Amino acid sequence: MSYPRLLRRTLLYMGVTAFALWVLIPIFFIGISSFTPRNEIYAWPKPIIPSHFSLDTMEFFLGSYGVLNSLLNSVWVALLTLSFTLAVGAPAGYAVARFFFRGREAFRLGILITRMFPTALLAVPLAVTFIRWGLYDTLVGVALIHTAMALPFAVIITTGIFMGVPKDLEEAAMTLGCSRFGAFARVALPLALPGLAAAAMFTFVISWNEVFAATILTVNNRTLPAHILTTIQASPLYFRFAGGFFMILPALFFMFLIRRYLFHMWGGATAER
Amino acid sequence: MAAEIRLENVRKAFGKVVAVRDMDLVVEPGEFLVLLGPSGCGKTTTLRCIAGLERVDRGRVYIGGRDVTALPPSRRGIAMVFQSYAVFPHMTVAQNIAFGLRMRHTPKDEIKRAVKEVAELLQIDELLDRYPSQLSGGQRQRVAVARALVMRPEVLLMDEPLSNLDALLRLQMRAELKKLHREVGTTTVYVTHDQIEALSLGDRIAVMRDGEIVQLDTPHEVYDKPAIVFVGGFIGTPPMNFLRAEVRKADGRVYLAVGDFSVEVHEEWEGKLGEMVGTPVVLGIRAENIEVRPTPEEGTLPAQVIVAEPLGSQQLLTVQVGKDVLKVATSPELSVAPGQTIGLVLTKAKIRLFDEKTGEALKFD
Repeated sequence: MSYPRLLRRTLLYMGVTAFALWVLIPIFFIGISSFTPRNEIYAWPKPIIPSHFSLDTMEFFLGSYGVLNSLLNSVWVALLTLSFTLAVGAPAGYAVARFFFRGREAFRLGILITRMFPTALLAVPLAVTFIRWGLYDTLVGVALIHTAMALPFAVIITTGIFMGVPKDLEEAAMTLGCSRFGAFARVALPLALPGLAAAAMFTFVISWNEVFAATILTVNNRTLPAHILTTIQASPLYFRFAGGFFMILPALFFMFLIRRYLFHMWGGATAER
Repeated sequence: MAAEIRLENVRKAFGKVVAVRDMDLVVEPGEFLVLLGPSGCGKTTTLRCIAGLERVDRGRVYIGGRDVTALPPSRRGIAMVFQSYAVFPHMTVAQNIAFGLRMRHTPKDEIKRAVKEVAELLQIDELLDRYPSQLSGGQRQRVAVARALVMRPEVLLMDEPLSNLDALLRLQMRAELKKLHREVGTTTVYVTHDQIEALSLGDRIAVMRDGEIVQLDTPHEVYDKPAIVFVGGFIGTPPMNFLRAEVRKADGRVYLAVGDFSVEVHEEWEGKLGEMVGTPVVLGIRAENIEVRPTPEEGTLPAQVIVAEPLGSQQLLTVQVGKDVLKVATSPELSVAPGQTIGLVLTKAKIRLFDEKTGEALKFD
């Protein structure tokens, strides 16, 4: 290996390592701390590896007032968001992938631009509108906002998925006796299913992690992040660790499962693994 | 079983590009018709219009006397083999072949029997439980053909079905498709840009250019008597040779002047050509219709050898006559060296003359 190449490699790996540590170290400490016996969390100097594994902290967290309820709320909101998003996003993705229509490219770009608009600016008008429509402090209301946030990503991911299913296959099905919809249902859909599952998980995670809109639009029916955010200032340290860990968990798990589709979404050709 | 296909004044444009230009075409029942042309000539679009995968802008499409212009592909009584084969990757070979019959709600035991029968015909009965990812390109192609044939379609449409196979396999499948057509007898429309495939498979060939059929004839006629310069230049390996010539008359005999030399013409042509004295024409002749003399004698066309290529069964010479370059097929035994001047004799009966401006063949009957 030539010298400049070696140098470039070394710098690259150093950068990657630093970046990985920057992300991983907090996750590591949050994870470790939430399985450390409560009294040890305050110990100084703090041992990197706890003296023994304990579910104490997690139990306390899950047993705290409002946690279980908001956890259920979060799951409901995430599932509602997922259904809304796929119901609208998958057909939109299919249309962008299959049909030429005027303004298709503008649509693809425009859909991302909606994400550039800061939610904070919308907070008050949204709250007012939701109160008027009777959606304020309801799970459906939160799910609608989450759908609006997840939809651009869902459309982009599903576009990629349906582009990966050759048009020929659907046409072949049509020559063999299927209607247009039949060809979609019998050929395109089964082939797109793994990708759609990935899009669904991604949507779930977006909704699960979203805190701002959920905090503004609810009072009693808090989702888990909203609940943690509003109670965290008044909570002991171990509660925060356990809450943090609980929030990270699904994201880590799903991201690991769908990472190949995320590459796809960012337009990388390296997803074939 | 086999149906007639009739296109009447069919037009299809994509934006400003006209892919099929007011086409009239009749494919006889049981005929094997090849649509041949360079890429972008509209041959695949024509096929897709017959299949119903494209909606025509105007004109009518009839299959078996029935107006199918407004019908979806599923109700036209057609089956199609795609260039990519379009075999469903999430189904086994057996499920792929059975797909169309299942859509028709054919009874299960009948499907099973039909699948087995067609699989045997195409020699893929050993592969029925496999998935397409476990098959070679050639095997996938057979599955695609089987899936189409099992439907017992009135019309079989094939879009460059052999173009993704390697050369040897293509040769083998070509012969098999021909045999298959003889056995099944379905009206077949076959799209290709490979002129050898067209010559070997077609009962008739429709040569297309810019969305129009420029010649519709038997392979023999298309090869021997191209209707325009384009067809002669497109069909045949090597393509037809073209020489600039002029009609002249001396001592009561009509002849063609190529540079300073004269070429005799068919006696029957003299009458009409006699009225065209002084007109520049294009003389077309195939490589195998030129005889070679080792030295330029009286009455031969002198030519300089540029390259000599031994090709096994024949030897291909590239020679220069005036400003024109010709390909000449000779026996491999003839020994010539580059730079050598030889004499050419053009076989009178095989000469074809074209209008210099329009490129259309001159007619003498």
